[in-house]
Amino acid sequence: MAVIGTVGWGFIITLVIYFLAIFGIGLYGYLTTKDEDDFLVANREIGPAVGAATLSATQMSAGTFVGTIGVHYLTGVSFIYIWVGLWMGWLVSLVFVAPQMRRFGEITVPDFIAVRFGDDGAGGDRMRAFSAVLIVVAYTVYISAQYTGAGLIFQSIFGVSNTVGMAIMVAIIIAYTAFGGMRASALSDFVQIIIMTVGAIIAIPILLGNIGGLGQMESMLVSLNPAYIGWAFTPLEVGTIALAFGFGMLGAPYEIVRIYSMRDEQTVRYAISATLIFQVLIATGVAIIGMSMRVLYPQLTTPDLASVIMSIDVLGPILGALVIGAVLSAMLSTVDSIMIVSAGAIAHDIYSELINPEASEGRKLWANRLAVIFVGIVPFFLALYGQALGGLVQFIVLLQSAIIGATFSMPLLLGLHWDRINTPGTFAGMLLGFVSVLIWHFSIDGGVITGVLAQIDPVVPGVIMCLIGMIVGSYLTAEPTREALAPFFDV
Amino acid sequence: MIAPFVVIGIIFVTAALLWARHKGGEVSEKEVGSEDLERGGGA
Repeated sequence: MAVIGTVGWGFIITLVIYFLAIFGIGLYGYLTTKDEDDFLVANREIGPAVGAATLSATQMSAGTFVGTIGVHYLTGVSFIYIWVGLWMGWLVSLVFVAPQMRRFGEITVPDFIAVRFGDDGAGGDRMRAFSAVLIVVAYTVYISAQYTGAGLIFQSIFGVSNTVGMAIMVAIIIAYTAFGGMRASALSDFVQIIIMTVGAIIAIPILLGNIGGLGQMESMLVSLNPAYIGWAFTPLEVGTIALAFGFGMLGAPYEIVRIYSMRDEQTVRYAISATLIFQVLIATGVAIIGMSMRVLYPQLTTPDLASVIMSIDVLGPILGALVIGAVLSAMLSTVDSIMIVSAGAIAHDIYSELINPEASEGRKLWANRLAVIFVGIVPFFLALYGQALGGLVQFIVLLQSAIIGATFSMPLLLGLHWDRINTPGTFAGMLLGFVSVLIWHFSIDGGVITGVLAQIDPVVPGVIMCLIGMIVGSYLTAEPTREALAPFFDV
Repeated sequence: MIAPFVVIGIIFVTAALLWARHKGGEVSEKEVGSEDLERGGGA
């Protein structure tokens, strides 16, 4: 790696202080967490500021500070418009999903599925189990990709092996999430989003100062390739990726569980509005960083390392450590959120609701902690030995957002607003959405779908087929029972 | 190059804040209304 061994003590001490602060938050979370409600939804006391921070930090992952900077480095400005799809997802959620979910006020997304689609002949248990398993598989495997990214960064900065880098990441994140639960996760997200925002913004004047200003950056990009300031990605490509992100965000269980943890519906509305402010700032910063690095270092062999190289070569020890802190924060905040959701699906939905409904509060709390440790450690081994599963891990990582978007966005949206939608229809829709994502993906891979259609992300046919399955299935079968509708409609 | 994106972002933020404020206003009016009813109505 190009940057091994070049960091100084200032850099390392700044990072250590950051990690100590995160551990301190984890300890605070541990000392203030008394039961399962506390662990999974922070006793519903998250306010708008921390709420906005945790929604933003959860959404932004290694993909934002590593992958997206790399994409801007390679292709220029056009990729920035995928954010608009995300924001459309957030606006739909703001109006039609998030406040309603908060009003419902349970703990997990399968809780909602089990109540709204509870007439499955087993009191909602079948639908709960189906959705919980879907969440655990898609999300737990996805964590392995975040670990791989962290391993690469630790290796690049400190010269340790990839495995040791990943192990450090796993130890840190399990330590504060398993013991601190949602309270620690949300509060650490607050610190992390501030670091991400400051890191993304503070780099801009330094990079542009080195280049000679925004105008100079533009003209240098044009001299490299005029498409860098135009549409290197076609509008259709950007649009379909944007749709994928938008649908993914609309029904994302790891965002919904944060919605549940807020004080009330109005807090949810303000938190979503404020999260858009963080996103505009970070999206702009990340795009300028990627394009500036292209001008300053036009021949990087690994564009994904642009942010790391910038931190060490351009920003100096303190600011550089801050930006690396931002990159690691993006990973930690996403992984801790996914761990809480996957652990909730295992401990709350499968253990407490299906296997041992009589469990004491103390036992439930520890079931959640053990589940966090489990969903934290399994992806570590998947990242190390995933190849043994014949590409299955890489496949789920690639498609998890499409799978979750295609299976959860419509059941949440329609389930909350259309009283004719019933359980068989929703089950058919979720299944159809899931299968459509797989078929579309493999058809593109196998060359069956080509040309313009091949530019369409699998989430789009997935959502359409889920919608069709839900509507047709619901109208072909009996109306939902009064019990299933009562919590959501006037019946 | 970046300016149109920032403008779109500001539009989204404004729309979201206006919606949140509008819904907040609705909730407050309902609360005031129910308090009035409890008191026997009237301003």
